[in-house]
Amino acid sequence: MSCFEYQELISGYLDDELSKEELKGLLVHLEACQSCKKNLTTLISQKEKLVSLRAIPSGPIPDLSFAQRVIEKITQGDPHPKTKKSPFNLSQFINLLVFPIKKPFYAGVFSFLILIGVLTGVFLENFITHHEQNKLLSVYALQDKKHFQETAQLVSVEDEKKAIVFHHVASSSFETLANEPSLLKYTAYTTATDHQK
Amino acid sequence: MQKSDDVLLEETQKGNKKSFELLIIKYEKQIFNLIFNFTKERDIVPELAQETFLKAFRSIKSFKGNSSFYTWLRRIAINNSINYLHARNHFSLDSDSDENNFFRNLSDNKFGTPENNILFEETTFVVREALDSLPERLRAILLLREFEDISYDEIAEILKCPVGTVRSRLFHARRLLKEKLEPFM
Repeated sequence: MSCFEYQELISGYLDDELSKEELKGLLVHLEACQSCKKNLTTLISQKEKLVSLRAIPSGPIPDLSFAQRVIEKITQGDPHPKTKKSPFNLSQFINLLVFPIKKPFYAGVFSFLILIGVLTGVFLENFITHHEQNKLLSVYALQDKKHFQETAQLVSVEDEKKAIVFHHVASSSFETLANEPSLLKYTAYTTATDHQK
Repeated sequence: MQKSDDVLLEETQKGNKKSFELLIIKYEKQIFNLIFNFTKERDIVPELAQETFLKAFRSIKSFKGNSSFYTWLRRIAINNSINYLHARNHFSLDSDSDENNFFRNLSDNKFGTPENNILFEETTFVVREALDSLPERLRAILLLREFEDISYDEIAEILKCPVGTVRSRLFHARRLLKEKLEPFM
């Protein structure tokens, strides 16, 4: 290595940024080279002078209201968004309608609801409320007790409902159906289900 | 016992602007001085300092306390100053355009008032002038190291260059400064 290359190591040495090997190499060189040793002394003195400049301010001094102005600027740009209600914004509302799911959490909730809907049959319209079911049972029980007893053996409540509706529709007159509109709703479905079986 | 800066920080993180005002008052002079050292433009200093404090307030919740508040604030001020120099097109790691401006303003009074001038010893004045006459890329790196006491790794991060470049730039900066100061030492 030349003296020029050792100069760079001297600079690194001043900053305590040399590796162990570099430091060892430099120390060996400094013992033999008076010129580099002199340069090291000069650079140390130069560094001391520079460091002493740190404490001497040379820039402009902030005026007394500087901090206050910064706070005012912060207040202008931060009108407490947590406490103030934002006014109704039509474009945001439309955006919400068009793109209702923006966050993973809401997407998860939405997916869960879809799954529940599919599992319970809401989307297939094969869902009968308790009220409707009671109505059906009472209408059917009055008309055909024999068939009801047969279908009561079925284990699944869902199958039982379907069977009740099917038998009722099959055995009902047009007038009965007309008097009980909720039955019409299930006619097509129960018939189709029965054919599939 | 908790340090006063930590208490003020906690309060600021809760949204207490009065606490932040106290932090500004405490560090505004250092930040003004730091920005001036980098930019050498008195007029731009208040603007960049204000930007520094605004940025600090906006990101105060992300401050985790791994360093002191001033170290964190100083980093924002340094980045602001470096960005300003970049935008001004005077700052480039490869630029040597102002290499020959040594002592161009030696006869001018750059320290503002005559009172200030009296306070400065001649050596200090000369060293300051020599430092200011360095090319911006070398002056900035020397300021980061000698004035702000920042490690090579962090300087490399700030200037977005390899650590090896930081080392060699510092060497060149010191060599040039030494040449400039030699007649006066």
